[in-house]
Amino acid sequence: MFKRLTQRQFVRFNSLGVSKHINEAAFHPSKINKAAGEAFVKEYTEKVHHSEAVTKLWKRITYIVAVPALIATAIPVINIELKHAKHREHLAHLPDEEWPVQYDYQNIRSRNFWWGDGDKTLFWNSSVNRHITE
Amino acid sequence: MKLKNMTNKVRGNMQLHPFHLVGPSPWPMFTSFSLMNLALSMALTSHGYMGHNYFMFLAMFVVFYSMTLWFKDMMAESSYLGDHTMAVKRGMNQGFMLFVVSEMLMFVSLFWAYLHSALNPNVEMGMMWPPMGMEAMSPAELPLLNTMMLLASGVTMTYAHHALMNKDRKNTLYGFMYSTMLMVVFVFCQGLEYSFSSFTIADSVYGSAFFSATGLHGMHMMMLAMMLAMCTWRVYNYDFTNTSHVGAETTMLYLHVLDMMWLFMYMVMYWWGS
Repeated sequence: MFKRLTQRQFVRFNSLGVSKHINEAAFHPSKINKAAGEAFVKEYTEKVHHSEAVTKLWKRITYIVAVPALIATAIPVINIELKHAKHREHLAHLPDEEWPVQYDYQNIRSRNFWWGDGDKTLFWNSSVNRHITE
Repeated sequence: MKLKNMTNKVRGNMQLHPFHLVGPSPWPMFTSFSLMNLALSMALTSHGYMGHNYFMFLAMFVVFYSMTLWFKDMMAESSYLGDHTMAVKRGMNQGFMLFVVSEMLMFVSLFWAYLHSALNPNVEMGMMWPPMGMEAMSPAELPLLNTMMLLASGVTMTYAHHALMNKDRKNTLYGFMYSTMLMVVFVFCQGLEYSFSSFTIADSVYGSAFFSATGLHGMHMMMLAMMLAMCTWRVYNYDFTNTSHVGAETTMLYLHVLDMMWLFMYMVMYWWGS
């Protein structure tokens, strides 16, 4: 039965032979939108041309605005951070009694963390963070 | 052969549509399994059901591994097989935009969580924000430098983008290298800020909301640094042309969106919230 079915299908799809359009132009001039193609090329060349000046502008902004702004911000920030580092040194040697009072909502531990000793958070810093338990 | 002389016989040998019909690939299934593995091992590890965290790190490694191989296939399809027609590129950019929208909505939920607690602090925390006894980071110090770095990265990215469109290899490389370096330094400075912070993620809703939001942003920044490094390498490797560079376009979009995200975060959580 299947043999006959396949034969029937073969005949059905192949009896027509090759399409009579097979040797015709696939892109007949009437199908080609020349104006659209030219517009596409024009837009592309304009974009590439335009980007040259824009690249120069943003290169200038990078070196004349961004880099000095970064340096101007970095210098005072580094100075402040160095001061903070001195303060942290002092904090590290503070006895527990002088450490600021810990309220109930601070250092919440409902169960142990699964890393380290189970009490320290991921970015724990012993000189600025302290978990005082009575 | 000129296009107008092409017969239907010849045209029939070529693809009749502009779409990319991907071949059979193991990566969708492989990535699904590795992601499920990561989610399960993370949840089970953090709830104490696992004796050690090796499985979690193995699962993370496998996710990175499958991503690497999948992206490697995509790079081959775009740069070497020419499967990325204009229609395909448009589709991928649209897909990435949908991804970015879903990311933004995730950040919206974290802003909501922050402002829910910040706009009306409850009596147990002293009706103040940050809560009684807690000291916020100063917005004029390291966060300001971070903000400047992200603004500068927006500038260097635009510089790279226009140089890429102008077939200017040298300036494209410089632009991408500067952006990559700025992202790496940003992540490093965020790490410093986290480790010098006087409060932790376990210190009241202030610490939880602050570190959830900035931490999620920081993880995105790490991913962005990887994407930018990849783009720099691909420019160096002549993978991109001035009209075909979806990887660069999505990376630029991601950078600008995350920069804007950081500006809102800086204004609300560092400046207003301190």
